[in-house]
Amino acid sequence: MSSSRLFKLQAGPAFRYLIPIFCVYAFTVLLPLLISIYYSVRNEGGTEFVGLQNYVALAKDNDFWFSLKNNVIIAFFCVVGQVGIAFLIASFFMTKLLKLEGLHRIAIFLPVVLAPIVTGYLWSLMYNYRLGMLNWLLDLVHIQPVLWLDNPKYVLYSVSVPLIWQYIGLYFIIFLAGMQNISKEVLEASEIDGATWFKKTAYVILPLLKNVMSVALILCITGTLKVFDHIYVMTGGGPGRSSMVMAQYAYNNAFTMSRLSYGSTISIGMLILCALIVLAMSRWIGGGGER
Amino acid sequence: MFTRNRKMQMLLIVLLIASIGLIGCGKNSSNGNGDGETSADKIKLTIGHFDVDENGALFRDALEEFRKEHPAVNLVEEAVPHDPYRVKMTTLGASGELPDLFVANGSMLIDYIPKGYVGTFNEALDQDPEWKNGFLPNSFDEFTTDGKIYGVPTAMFSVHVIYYNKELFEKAGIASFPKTWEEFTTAIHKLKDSGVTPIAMGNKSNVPVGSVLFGTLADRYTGTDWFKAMKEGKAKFTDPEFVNALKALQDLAKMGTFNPDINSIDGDQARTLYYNKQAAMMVDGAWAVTNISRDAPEDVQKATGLAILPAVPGGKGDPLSVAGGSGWSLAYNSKLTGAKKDAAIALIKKVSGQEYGRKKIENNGQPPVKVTDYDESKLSPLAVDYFKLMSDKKFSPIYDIQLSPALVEVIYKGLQDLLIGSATPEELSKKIQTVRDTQK
Repeated sequence: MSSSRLFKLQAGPAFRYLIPIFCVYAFTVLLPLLISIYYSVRNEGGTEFVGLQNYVALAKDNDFWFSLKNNVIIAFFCVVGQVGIAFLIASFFMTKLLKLEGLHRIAIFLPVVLAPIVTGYLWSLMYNYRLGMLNWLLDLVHIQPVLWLDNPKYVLYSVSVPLIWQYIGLYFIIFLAGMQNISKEVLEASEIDGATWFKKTAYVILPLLKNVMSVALILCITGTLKVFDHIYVMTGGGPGRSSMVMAQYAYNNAFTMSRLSYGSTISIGMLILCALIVLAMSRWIGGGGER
Repeated sequence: MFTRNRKMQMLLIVLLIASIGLIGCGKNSSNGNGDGETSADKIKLTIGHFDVDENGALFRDALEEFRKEHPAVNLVEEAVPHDPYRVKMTTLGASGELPDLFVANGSMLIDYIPKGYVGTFNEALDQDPEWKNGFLPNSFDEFTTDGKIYGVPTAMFSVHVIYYNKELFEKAGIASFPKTWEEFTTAIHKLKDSGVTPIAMGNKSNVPVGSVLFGTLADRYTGTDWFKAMKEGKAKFTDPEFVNALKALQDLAKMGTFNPDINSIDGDQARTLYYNKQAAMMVDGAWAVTNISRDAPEDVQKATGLAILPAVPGGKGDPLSVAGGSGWSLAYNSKLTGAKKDAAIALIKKVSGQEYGRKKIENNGQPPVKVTDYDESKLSPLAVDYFKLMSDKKFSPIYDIQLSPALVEVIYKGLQDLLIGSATPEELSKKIQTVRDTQK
């Protein structure tokens, strides 16, 4: 196809420029990944080769599938919460009603730059049974205080909220950029045709944002499947295993239980499952577009 | 469209690998102690410990003194608080990058000894009989494997003491601390009716309930012989004695014995509840004697009494035993040789000898050595009470110190499940036994 002289001349230098970054990538990502795979096929202590024994144990491990289930639930809430709310806010920004646009944008984006650990601590203070802000508010309206992080029935929702809160801003910025790329003519035409805000958003902006939306969805799902920091700080997977997620489970195995090879197996299992889920997602989104 | 999708997929897969690959492999950071070679003439010695808070001032002073006495040694401290210290040491243990000297508990040593990371003390102890004979009986038990001693104890204490507020007990109509299990549960109900939390504990990190309460409770039911048999593989966690212990803990939780937020607060926050008279009892280790003597309001200090769990119906354990022992030890890296090793042994002697023991006891601590001539007037009244309480007690095993880290995690995490009622004692005992079976 494009075997022109010009292209060949450019490809060489381009690849050479990529060598340093590829080295960094290989050292920080590929190498640890390979080491992980190596650990996962050895016994604890790494003295002998055990083949797929660890993976068989993983497939039978009830706790692992339980944490995958938790991960999927959290991912669902985050897709609805982060992407959904971000889309709504971004479409409000497209109306002319909003004042002080810059201030709002900063306020919404600010949590994104916080370290996850900080967010976790902030929210565990808010959730605190005795001193927390949420129970104080409930007390004002004479409702019994709630055990936000101790009750296995709510804990999964409680830990999802900070995740949603923190990353709305990220998707908001992505959507806003996408919406500002939609040509003014199309939007004006729909307004002249008498479309309300809802109709304009649902029938004009949303279809035109399809590509942006699929990127946002993929980012959101991969992001929440590997969530760790928030949960580590707030509950550590507890109480019991109620808010256990895969990354926390891998961490517990490798570092608190001193089972490094099983911990590595969990991470590789996580990698495979996440790849499958994302592949299915991208097929599904891509398949919708061909109709 | 097709090629674009393919590109998109490839890009995503690469992104995914990039993002997830980082998780499993956080351990490749070198901790900077590998290059601790002697620079010219100064001997560099690294020491890992967790005595960073006020309770550890004595230890830090001793290190400072050691620096003055041994100017040729460059002692570098790698100190972090207790909970992260345990995590850090497991991580370093996994990569074999341990400091030259470190504080280790029995569970860590079980992990390190087969890997050959720790040196033995037999020779050094035999050379210095005065040092060796100064220790309390059985204080080396947790650190000895096949007759080889891998650690020198830093303290010897009970991890289970019930601190109770006599005033709150009287208010609830309880004359003295209950002697039987039935009286104990009645007392809990009475305390609850009087509007206070019967027992305050902070179990966010999993360890407290398992270590300071369940270890002793389980021993009441199973007896220490069962524990020994279990370690040899002759008894199982599914045995009725152990299941009964789990049941007893769950019953306590169902009764509303604990503060409802037990699993989301830490020990310090739980102590605050006790200091504020919101809780009538607090179960904590002997180390809390120091905390209460220092931090609690005066009236709470005066009202505080010490007790241990009463006997349980049908229990095989000795009601006069409490989970305890030496727990933590000082160990040295097996890589040390020559002058470095000598300096390390000298330092360990410094913080485990008579002199240090006397200072420790006068600071309300619990040294592992026999101390004969200490000044009792320097002790807080609570510490005097503690030594009185312990005078006729025996030590039973501490779970998190005698069992391997994997087993400890399963038991302790499972106890949280029990407390919130999301697992039954039978289910949990089966789960623990499955993990036990995977170990040799």
